[in-house]
Amino acid sequence: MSQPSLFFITGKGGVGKSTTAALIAKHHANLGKRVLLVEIGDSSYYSMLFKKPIAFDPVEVSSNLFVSHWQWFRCLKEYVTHVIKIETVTNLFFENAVMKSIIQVAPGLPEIALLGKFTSSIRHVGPSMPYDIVVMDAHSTGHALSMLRAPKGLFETIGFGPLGDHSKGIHDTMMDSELVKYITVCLPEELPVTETVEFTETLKTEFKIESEVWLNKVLPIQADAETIDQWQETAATDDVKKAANYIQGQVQKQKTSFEILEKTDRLHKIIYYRSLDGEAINWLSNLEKESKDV
Amino acid sequence: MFSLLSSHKLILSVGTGGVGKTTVSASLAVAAAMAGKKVLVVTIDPSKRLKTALGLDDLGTDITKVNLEAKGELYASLLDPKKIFDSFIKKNAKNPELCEKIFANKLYQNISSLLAGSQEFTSLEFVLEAYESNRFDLIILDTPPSQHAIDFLRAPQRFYHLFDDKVVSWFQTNGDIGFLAKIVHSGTKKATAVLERLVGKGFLTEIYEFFSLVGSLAGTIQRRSIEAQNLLSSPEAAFCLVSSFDPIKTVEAKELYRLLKREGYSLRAVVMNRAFPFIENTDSMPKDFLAVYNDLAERFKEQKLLQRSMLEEIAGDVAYLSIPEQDFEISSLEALKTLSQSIFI
Repeated sequence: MSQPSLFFITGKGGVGKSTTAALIAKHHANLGKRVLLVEIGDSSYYSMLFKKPIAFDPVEVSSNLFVSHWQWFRCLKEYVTHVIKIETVTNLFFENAVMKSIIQVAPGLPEIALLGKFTSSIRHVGPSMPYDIVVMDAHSTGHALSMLRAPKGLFETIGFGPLGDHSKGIHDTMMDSELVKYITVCLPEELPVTETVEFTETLKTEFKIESEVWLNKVLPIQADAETIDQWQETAATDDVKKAANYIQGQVQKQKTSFEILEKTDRLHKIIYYRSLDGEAINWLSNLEKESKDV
Repeated sequence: MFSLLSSHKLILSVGTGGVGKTTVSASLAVAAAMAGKKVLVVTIDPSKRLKTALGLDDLGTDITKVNLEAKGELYASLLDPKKIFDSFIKKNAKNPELCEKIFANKLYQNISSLLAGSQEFTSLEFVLEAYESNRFDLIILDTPPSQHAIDFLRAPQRFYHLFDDKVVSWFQTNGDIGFLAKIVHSGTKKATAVLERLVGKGFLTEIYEFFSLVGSLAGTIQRRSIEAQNLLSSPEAAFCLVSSFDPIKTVEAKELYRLLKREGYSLRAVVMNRAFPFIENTDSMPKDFLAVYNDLAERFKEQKLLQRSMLEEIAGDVAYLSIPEQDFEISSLEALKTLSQSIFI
């Protein structure tokens, strides 16, 4: 079975999607692969993380690891240039005020522009992307579903012509598990885990996509509930008691989370928490070293 | 913190995604209700957490009274941008025929809630209506989750610019279809040819019709956006900035702080969520407890620095609150009550 070359990272806001995507990218870069890490929001998070300006053209942040910030409008322009082939006409199209409004309104166009570029090498459409691996720090779960639905939605609405055909190609690629690996990141707490399980189920039933679940910001606490009970009872001061309560709370939350995930057979990795200090590249390497396969 | 709740009629919880805005908004609302106010908490984030905590079910998108035992009353609403936009159209369309045409348009059906800025526009419209109704002492809005919190303030302008005068007048056909024939300017003709090649003529007609129909409401959209903006800038409205102890979220929070201050909004509180319980004096702790604690404290050590740097940033008239990581899940009304009681005294 061939190794997937595209990674799609999702999860609810605040779980550490961007960090996990970067961690995966670094992991593959360390193995000697040429990796592109992509972010797609309105503003660049990775610029702040890597302390380097990240824009459309890839920036090398460490050996073999390149980072890009794709804004959908730019991806669309690149695509239209590829289809229309005459740059002056393309520019006319995009600079026209009316067209600008229309583009904003076309259903799923931003999502298709982004997924189009993400899958472009595989589909041999558009400028080449000389990477072994492309990791996308994708939208959070709700928006990710709209994103995955967009290509099919567009080719069902339009049905013919280059945009229709390409949308179908994008859809088929995204649904191919040999080409795209899906990872849903989650926190070790009951409610996020429950919602993650539901989300991964939706991916399965709606798209036949099998997503791995990775737990992030886990705390490695080597103590059982009874021992922690003792600490709570014998706490001499208020803040010591609060710390004991906190530890007990975390242990319970994590225990419940593991129990729920164990039933689904989807948990594949645990990433232990460590706050970012110093260089992001080193921090990512340390997180990776400490992480555990399940 | 209490003056925040008593001296304003509208509180907006702002901050980037995943920092706990929804929980903070709900706790503020519960605290205000416990203190005797008639409060409405409005959320757009379809997170199950708040739904569960407030006892709202999946069907409720209207204003629902929450079953809270308090001196005051608590109401909650889950925003459905599509429903709000539909009722906005119904309310403001010149006549019922126009309204029907809009609802029948394929583009409208698919994208009214996806248009850039539409979520923000509809949540502000909802809040504006609730405020104008005078039903509530206090309205708390949990703003839509966005990567860049400033989007919320900018979005309504982006939204009504879609229906900019030049664009809208271009589409007005006075009833007949013949858009393509009316194109005189060669630049636009070429651009249209490109679009037609990409999406096909049938779809193009739907697009034009959408702009023509909804465009006729552009004036109202603009007027309401301005009215909402005025409310946000008035002393009746206060902003509560929520962040977590994450270096990048803190940077984003500080940027948002400066922007809000610069543009004259009343930023009244900064909340940092999920604080680690650092211990001053560890002398009394047994060895095994100390070992676990030290390992954790080392993992969270940046929090102290981040808190210090945030406190340095904020002015004297802004309340700062650090909310400790809770031992329990905030998944019930009782949990929200406990949280709000321990924080908002």
